[in-house]
Amino acid sequence: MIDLLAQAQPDNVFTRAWWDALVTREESWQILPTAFKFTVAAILTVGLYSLLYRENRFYRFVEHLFIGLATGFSVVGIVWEPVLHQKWWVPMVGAAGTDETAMKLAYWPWAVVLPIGVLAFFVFSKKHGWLSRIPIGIILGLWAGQQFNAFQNRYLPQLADSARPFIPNQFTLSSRLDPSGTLTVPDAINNLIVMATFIVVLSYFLYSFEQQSKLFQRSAIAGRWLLMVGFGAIFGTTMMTRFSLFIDRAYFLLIEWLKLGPIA
Amino acid sequence: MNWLIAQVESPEPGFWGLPHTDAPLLTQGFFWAIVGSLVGMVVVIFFLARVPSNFRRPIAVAFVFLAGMFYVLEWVLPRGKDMSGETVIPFLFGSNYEDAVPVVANLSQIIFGLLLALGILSIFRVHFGRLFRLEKDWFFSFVLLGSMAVMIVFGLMNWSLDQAVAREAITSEQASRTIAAQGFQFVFFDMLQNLDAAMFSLIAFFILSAAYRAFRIKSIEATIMMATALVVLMSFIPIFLAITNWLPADQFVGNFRVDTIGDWILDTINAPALRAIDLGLGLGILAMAIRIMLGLERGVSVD
Amino acid sequence: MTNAEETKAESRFWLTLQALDRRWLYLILVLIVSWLVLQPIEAPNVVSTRSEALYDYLSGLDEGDVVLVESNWTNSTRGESRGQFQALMRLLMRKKIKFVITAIADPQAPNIAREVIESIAKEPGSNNYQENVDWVMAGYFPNGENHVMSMVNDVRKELATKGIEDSPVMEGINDLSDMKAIINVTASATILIWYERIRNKAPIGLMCTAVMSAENIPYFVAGQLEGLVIGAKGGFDFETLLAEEFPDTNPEFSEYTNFESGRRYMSPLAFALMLLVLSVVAGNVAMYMLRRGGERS
Repeated sequence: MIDLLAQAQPDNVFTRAWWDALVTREESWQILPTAFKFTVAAILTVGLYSLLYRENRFYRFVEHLFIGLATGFSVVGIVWEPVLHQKWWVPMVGAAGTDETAMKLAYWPWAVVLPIGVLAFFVFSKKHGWLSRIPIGIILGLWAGQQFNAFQNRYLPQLADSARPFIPNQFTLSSRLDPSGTLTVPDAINNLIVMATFIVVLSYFLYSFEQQSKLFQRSAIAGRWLLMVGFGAIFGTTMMTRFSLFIDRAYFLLIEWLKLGPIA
Repeated sequence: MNWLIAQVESPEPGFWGLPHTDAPLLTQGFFWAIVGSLVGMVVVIFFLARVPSNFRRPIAVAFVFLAGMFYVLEWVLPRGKDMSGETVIPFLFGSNYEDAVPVVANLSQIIFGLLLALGILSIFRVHFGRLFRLEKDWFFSFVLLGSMAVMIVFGLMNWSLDQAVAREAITSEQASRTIAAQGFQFVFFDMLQNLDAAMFSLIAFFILSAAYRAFRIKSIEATIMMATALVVLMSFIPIFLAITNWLPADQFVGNFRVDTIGDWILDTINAPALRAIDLGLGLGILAMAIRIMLGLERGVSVD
Repeated sequence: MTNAEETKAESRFWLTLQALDRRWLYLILVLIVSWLVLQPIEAPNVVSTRSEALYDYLSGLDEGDVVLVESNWTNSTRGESRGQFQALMRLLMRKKIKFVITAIADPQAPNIAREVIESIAKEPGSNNYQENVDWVMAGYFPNGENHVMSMVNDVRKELATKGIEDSPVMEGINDLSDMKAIINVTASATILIWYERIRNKAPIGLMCTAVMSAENIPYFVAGQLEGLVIGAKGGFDFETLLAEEFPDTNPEFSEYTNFESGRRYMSPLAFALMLLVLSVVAGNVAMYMLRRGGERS
């Protein structure tokens, strides 16, 4: 612990100097706003973490605060500013020109779009609820229409990469110096593994009905095992993300707030 | 058709784009055009609401199908090049399909935004009701609605400051010193962003306790999964990479470096395995898209 | 002690271990992470080929080239995304590559990105990057699918809706293919939209959270991604490569900051993951011993 305090920044909150500065009139103006903001953030963070001990009212308070702030932000940040203002209001009403800027025409037909979107709010009405299906249907229809192009762009290169050459033309180990077009034995084996894995896992997925043939049964077992390799990679990388996020919060509390160690 | 999105270049005023001048609002044509369109739409909706129930489904399906067909047209319509070498896909009334795409995209973004507003309204309804009737835990609803209101007020004030800066009415320096900007900074960066980070980091603890209690290595599958996870994790952590760092990468023994083994698993087995799952999902999505467009998917246009 | 008592005591130990209150586990995690955040252990890095591919590509661009940076992260993934984004910004600014920032996943993202960009622009080596001159903020676009489609279709028209088409950054950009790269710094599935709609107009670089990496590696393998930077380790890779290109041993670069959260978070991460592995092992050993005890009696 002594080691730690020796590492701490000279102005960490456990030093006399920090508290002295806080009550000095000139310096407190520099310290106080940041200290206040960080302390509020830290209290909120600890409030959420209190759930780890047990469910409590402070946690619920902070949780509702979070939902409220996030919802409030989406009103301005999603609905008003980028959509209703920029995509609807500005093109619809245009703008009068000034000395420096040209006049922007008012494209009044955009006015028609708002009532169509507002139909969605009929979802709360029992009698006219079906009207809400029109705007939802337009969005879903556009989404569905895009999927054909999306499939082509996203999966065709994937399929092309799954059909790989597997007859080697050089019988040595791979090297970085090999000219392009060389396929060494190890590369050929790797390519075979890629193709076999792809086919076996795909067949495990597609044959959802019961298989009588021994070959298919075996391939399904192999498919399940190879799939587990994929799931293992997903599990490992998921843990990495989750821990990184917690480490970042520990960094915030210990370094940014309490200044107990060197920055970065 | 691109002129409908405005401001790309300044085309001549016409029927669809009316001039906006400094004259009083009530004397301007565009104002009355907007009012007229809104009133017209209200009338249309009034009659739509009175459509007999056996026509409702075909109407809803027609909207879905027409919207879906728009992007399919890109494949169906013939394409050519104009004088300047730009791609042209002739569309309705001699317009270019490529120009219609941004207009439809804009339209869909507006409707999408209004659908999100619907979600926000539902949260508001639930909590407002709870607060109004002083039900159990009304205090938490009060906190939620209060913080929502504070964020909306500061957000709008901050937005109008941004507008003023864009108009060059004030400098960004002046804007940042106002109470509105400072308040927004506080509720957004210091409160919302830190809560966001803390909320997501909580999951680390839950996964750790789940791994301890539930990850039982009883089968070959579980063993393969755990072993892969271990190797992949090691290949991402410099302390473990350092163990085999001394092996020369371009010789045969380089194959036994932790990073080489990790990358081999990820590229040679994980990649095709997940690609196969992904392709399976992609085919499923494609099938669903067709069902949606044809009005066969439940919940979209069929009950 | 008799044999039976011994067996009983032993099984009681394994039972306790198996039924251990999860809060003890949490406490150990908190202590390990706190200790290593305060006293990080440094280990040399082995840069992943996936990160290196993107770094080399960007580093080889010419001064004045324009790239699109789609910033789709907020503080909810600060632990991974910020390190990546900071290192990316340092590289672009040092190489005088211009950039346009957009966001489709989260309306909060532009504010976060701006905060980081403004602080890095003040650093030595960042060529005093100015908004609207060297970089421009296009902001948030709801309905990412349609936005990306419009970007691919006509980048000027789509950015015109934000009034930035005449920015000096956009000079010479008439089509998405005039941009040298699209870099997606993301914490959600936004990249899929680009795979689906890009039509080979520009190379894509992905900087993603580790949790998304496994599903995106197939796209790197198939060449749909120019480079793939994964999680906090990817950020550390970029930092390492920055330090190789701009070493502080060179007096010209002695004031540059190369390392930040990427390197800092590596050792706590290593030990937290070791705790995870140990706890899985402990849980399994306890189960195995109890089952064996059960068979004996």
